[in-house]
Amino acid sequence: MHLLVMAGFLGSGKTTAIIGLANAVRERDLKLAIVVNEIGEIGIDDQVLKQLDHDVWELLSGCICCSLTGDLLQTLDKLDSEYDVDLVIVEPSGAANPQQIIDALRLRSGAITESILTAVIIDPLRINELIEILQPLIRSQIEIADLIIISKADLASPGEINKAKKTAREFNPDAPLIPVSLKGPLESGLEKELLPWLT
Amino acid sequence: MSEAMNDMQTLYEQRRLRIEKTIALEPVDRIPTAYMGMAFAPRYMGMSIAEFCEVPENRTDVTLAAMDKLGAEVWDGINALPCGRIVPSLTSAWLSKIAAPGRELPEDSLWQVQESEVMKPEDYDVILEKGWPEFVEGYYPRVINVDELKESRVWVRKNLQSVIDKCREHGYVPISFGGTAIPFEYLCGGRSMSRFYIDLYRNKDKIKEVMDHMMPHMIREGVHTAEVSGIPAIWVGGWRSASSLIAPKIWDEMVFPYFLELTHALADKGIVSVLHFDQDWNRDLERFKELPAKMCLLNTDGMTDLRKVKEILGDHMAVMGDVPAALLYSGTPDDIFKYVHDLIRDVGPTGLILCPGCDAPINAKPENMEAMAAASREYGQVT
Repeated sequence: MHLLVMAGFLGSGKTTAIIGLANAVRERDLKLAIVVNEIGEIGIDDQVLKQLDHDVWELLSGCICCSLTGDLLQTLDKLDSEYDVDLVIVEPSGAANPQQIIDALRLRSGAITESILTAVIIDPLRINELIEILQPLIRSQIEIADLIIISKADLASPGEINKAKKTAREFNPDAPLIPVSLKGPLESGLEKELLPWLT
Repeated sequence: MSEAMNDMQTLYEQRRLRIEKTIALEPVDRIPTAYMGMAFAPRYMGMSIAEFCEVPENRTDVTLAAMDKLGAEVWDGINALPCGRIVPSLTSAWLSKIAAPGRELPEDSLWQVQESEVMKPEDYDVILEKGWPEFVEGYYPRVINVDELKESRVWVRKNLQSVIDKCREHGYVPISFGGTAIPFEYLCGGRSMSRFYIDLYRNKDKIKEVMDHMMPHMIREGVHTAEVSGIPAIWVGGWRSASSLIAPKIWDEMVFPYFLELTHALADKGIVSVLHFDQDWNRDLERFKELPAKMCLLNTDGMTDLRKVKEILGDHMAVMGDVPAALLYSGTPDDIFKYVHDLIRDVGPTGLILCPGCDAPINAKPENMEAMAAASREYGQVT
């Protein structure tokens, strides 16, 4: 089972990217599950994904933090043992620190995870205001990423894209960085970066 | 009074003193252990979560029964008094709709905060115009059936003392009852996380004005709750105002001054603030030295580094925690033993209350909770 953690603040384009990716995976006849949590109005995204007939698993949380990781692990265990999926995409809340999720995944004693990839999506139109208020969260989402996606490349100005790139590089100098529009089918370059185990 | 009752009374007083001494950073004979596992208790005792939520007596009785079953001799106290129905009390804390098991959710499902924009941008002005108490009473119908909320409050008023007495009969000290928070948390819950953070960017001065207006009410609520229960400690929540989320400039202006004011106001009345702080607060631990000494209990969820807390705040405030929820689900009893052993070695023996962090989850393995209790027995003895 391969895991893809898709981080990014609400409205950054995570669900759009996941839909594109899910369609690409389905075309290859692979089994996919999408795990979302309900914090932060992701319920709306959840409905969109379900309407598109994707297999969506919701995480329930009594409070914002601690129950969530336990529920994530339980869900992954179930997907692993009972459904034999090839890929699980974890879409944490926009305000989740992916480090918390990666730490929790390390606790999956005995379970086999073939690969874990963390991608973060940055919205170049809102990066300034998000950094102003949520610098630690945005920083940790970028720092931990194996792949940085700058969304809305078709809507943002070159200056906004550059600012987003600069911010990303400040926190993570090494991860591949791809500006994309996310409209329409997933760009093949992005698909390769998100699913390196396919090639 | 029978001999057995007398013994239980003595045990209760010993435990109460042990907890008091821990909060005051005084030496103790053993490290106190507190239970916290709202949804774990019914699952462990074979009751559906819906039954646990709907019948207020169940919350008290099943929680106490779970503690007894795990090991009555282990638990000195319980983090929060198990009193009243969960959904109304969470609604009041989050100002969000809560989906309930057996209603919107399956019978044995965990309750779920349904975060959405219930509070509108124009409500900031309404709060300033009408005042917080009037606003919030008018707001509740947006998130809960008001008759149910009233009924729940009446039940708590009527039964509070008997719930406290039941805990005492079992020998368990309620460490806190009821809660309050800083305005940031209430507004963030009502507006929804993403919208509130954007509000902070676009409309900070107005929000600050609203927070300043709300603050005396938060303090009054905390003091009133402690006076009504007679339990001299209040649960003070911090989730979305955590250091790991909020930029320092905003935190310094919109978060910390309010914690400072709230905790000092409570301390002035002899009330301890149980700082139930989820997420990672490491960045700002130095600032916590400004909170009232020995009148706060830092209750964390495994993300804040308790070794760092001990180093920075060891002579200032006690901690309660922090066996992580994820470990209680996915670890083995050996993992739990090691975690508790290392925690006590590094953070004890003074100023530590052993507790799940922040809450034993619904899917915590019973053997892991039993291991936590056993590890407390094995490693918790000081003298």
